Amino acid sequence: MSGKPSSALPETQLDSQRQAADLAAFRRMLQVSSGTFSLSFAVCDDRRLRDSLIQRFCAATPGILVVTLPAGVESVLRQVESQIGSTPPAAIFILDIEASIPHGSSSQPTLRVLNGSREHWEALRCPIVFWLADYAITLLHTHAPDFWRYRSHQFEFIPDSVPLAQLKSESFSGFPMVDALPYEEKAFRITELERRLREAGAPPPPDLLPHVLTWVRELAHLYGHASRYPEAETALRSALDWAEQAYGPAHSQTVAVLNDLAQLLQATNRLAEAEPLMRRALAIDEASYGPQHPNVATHLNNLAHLLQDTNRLVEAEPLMRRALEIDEASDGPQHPDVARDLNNLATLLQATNRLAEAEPLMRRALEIDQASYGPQHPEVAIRLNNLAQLLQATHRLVEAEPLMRRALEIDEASYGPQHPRVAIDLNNLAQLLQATNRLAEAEPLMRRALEIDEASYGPQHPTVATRLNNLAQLLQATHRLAEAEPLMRRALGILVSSLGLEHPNTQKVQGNYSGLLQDLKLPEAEIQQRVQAATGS
Amino acid sequence: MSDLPKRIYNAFDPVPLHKGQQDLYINLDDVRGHSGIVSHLKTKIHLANGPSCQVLTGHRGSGKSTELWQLRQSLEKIGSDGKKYFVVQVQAEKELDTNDIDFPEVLIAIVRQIATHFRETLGITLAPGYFKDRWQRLKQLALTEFDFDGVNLEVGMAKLSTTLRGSPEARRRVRDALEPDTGNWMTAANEVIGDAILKLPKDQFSGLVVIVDDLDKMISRMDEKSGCFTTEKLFIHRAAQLTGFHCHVIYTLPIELAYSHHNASIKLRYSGHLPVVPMTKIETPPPDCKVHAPGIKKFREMITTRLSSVGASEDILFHSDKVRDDLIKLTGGQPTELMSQIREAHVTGGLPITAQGVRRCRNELMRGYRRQLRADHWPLIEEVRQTGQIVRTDDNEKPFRELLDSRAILLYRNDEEWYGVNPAIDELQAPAPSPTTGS
Repeated sequence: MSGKPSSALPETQLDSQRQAADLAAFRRMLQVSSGTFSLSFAVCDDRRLRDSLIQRFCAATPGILVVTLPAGVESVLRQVESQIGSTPPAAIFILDIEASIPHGSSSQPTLRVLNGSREHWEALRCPIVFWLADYAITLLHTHAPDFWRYRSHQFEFIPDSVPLAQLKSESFSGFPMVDALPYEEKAFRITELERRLREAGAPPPPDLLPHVLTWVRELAHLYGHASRYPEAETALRSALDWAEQAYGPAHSQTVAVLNDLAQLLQATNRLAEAEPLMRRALAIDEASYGPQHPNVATHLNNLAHLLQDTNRLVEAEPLMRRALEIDEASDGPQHPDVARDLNNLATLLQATNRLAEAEPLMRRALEIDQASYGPQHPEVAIRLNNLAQLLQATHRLVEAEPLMRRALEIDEASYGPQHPRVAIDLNNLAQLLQATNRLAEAEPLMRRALEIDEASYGPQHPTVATRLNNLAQLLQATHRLAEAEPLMRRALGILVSSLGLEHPNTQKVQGNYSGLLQDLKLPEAEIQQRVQAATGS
Repeated sequence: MSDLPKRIYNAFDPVPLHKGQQDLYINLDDVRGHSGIVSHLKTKIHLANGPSCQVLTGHRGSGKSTELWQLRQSLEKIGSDGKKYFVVQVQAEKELDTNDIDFPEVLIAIVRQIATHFRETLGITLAPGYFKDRWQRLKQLALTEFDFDGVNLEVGMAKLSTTLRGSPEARRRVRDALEPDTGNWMTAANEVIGDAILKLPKDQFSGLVVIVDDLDKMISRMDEKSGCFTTEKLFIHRAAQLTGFHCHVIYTLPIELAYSHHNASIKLRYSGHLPVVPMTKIETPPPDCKVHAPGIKKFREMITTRLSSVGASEDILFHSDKVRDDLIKLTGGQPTELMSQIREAHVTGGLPITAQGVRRCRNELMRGYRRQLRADHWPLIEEVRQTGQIVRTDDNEKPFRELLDSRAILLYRNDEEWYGVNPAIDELQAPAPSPTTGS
């Protein structure tokens, strides 16, 4: 074959030689079938390729009607008919039926209706082309067999480069294998990864690039544990450059690095810088996978979290609801991703004090995870914890306690007694006990939580500061002010050096510290002097 | 007595060529339709902007393993840049239980072979990295069958693979434990692969290539849990994992899956291309079925090369040229079948092979097919006899896949793709009363 088709379709990812036959056939079909009914299926999993092909076909053949179906459409035929104007179209392209036919769902009402509507399509008297993802073909074939058999043509358009990860992008946030390492091993791992990155060179050779990207993401995560945020940022930014240059901005690996960078900025309270990056990641995956893809739901979730951090709760809520809708539609109502979305939405509602609305969502999330993972899974522990916190907020402490104890048991069994997750559980339970005035029971738990986090994050981490702050407050409640003072001072010092003076947590602990000094009945000048010494200002 | 018959017998070993047999290799490219499979696979690896994942398919006995072996030779040859590839070969048939293969076993076999090859060839011991925690977790989950505390990657993976081969029950429990943890296993595997690539001497090697051969020999069964065939489950549902290793990987894929309605998804998921090792063209496409002399000539070359390697001549093996050509035609262009049938005739009728010996081979094969073929296979066989093509419908998917899988119909690729009926069933007819097509 000559290079003719490729000149007609420049800059697409089309493998011109292989696709030439399908392209030519498609054009022939449009010509031959014009003015008469025909039904075709064009399979294309890559939405960018699909959109660029459609654009070109539309430019070459005027009068093509492109119908983009909304989610959950009942009758595809009616939807199409409603968009036909006074002049009959040259052809009709139907897009996005995927949004109405969730993968993994057994009842497919849209396809059933489509199957029955077979004969009515003929009245449209023009070529009808359904543009479909590959999985949709299988569904169509199963749930609308008559309609499927009715087809006159089938075309396949396959992009030349296939993204490495076709499914959901992996995320390192909370990467359990890294989190589970003790502090010394983390330090060792950091050295190891730094050595590898040095050996790999900058920029790394193509064979090593995917590994380097993984290493950088893991290293940045570990730097975060060690409060070495600037180093994490530098590493992620150069990785982002390499990925963009080698794979382009829309590749799943590039987006993964971008996402990690945004999360890092969020963790260090640079929310204004994080937001555009998250919006960029969202826009990229919306364009590559379509607005209904689970990846998009993950980005929406991340962005909503960020907005929640910046107190823009009103903006965050619709994003979370959209994420929930997407995941419910694509994975069915019983999927763990749905549980995650329900949980996030409930946390948001809790933050806006809509506790009664939040509770049923959290209970549903718990049920889903119990059903999908079994009762002893760490995911279930997270749900139990969150529900317990909500109950605590509504002052139902007696109901909350057994849930927290169960969460602690699960995490101890699955991660071992020295894991940061266990520290979180211990801390939560201790705070609950403190709220019911069982201070003597609470203290050893808090001390254990502090020990675990010191061992796992090192002595200078913001999490350690939180533990110190909580323990100091407990001691304060038992009137052991002199014991509490050095702990609170240390907490403040850690936060100032790791997160900076402006961070809300730093400000809060600074307030706690001066309150404690006031309880100690120190003179005002002394208080000011000690706070200044602790904050280094 | 001379041991010549024995040497001849051994010269026609149907197992794929291996080290030291380079001079037995006959390039069949021009009688297979110039598919240039080796160079295609190699070029993809060369040009890939990072790791690549490719699949190769073909009938059993079409010469896939020999082509992959040829690929390996060519990758291991020092190129113009003074470098070669480090090739790790995984033989699924040896490493795994072909009756029952799922993704975890493939992952374990790949990691294990990488570790072994690095130690044997380069003297480099790879660290288990995150697999240490994975093993720990398996033990925690009360998998008493798996007891390993050490830090040796090779030994750990060997133990795990023994556990997996141990019993279906152990396999089920390990799989259940691995299922929710697949992401972490993937990460742990890539961690090892990354470390391995980094440790390859850069002045000698340009990359790591893993060839997983014989995976196409896995037996396709209906998996009750997922409601699909085990081959579909592995190659389609686990495609994200199979293509997720961060090094060059090549898998062999069952031909019935490649020619099923999954064809497009497979291309989509595995580098956009699905190379096929077709049968050698011995006859022209149906309905004529005339002798295709170049194909016969290549097969004769295969015979004489092997004979001369043991110092024998053609007249010792065959009673006449006609006997030889009849036997070649009986194979339908399957190289492995040629070796097997020569051995078969040699053993049952002695040397030289006579017309009667070939007849016996044909009868034996025919008897096998007569037992296998069902009423719904016959309309398809007739269609191939008359046209060399099959019009695929939703109803003939299953019998079509069975016919391909059992090699009752064979795939050829010369200029165009066409099918031929296996010569062994040439004389078979649809059982009377001839059934009418179901729909």
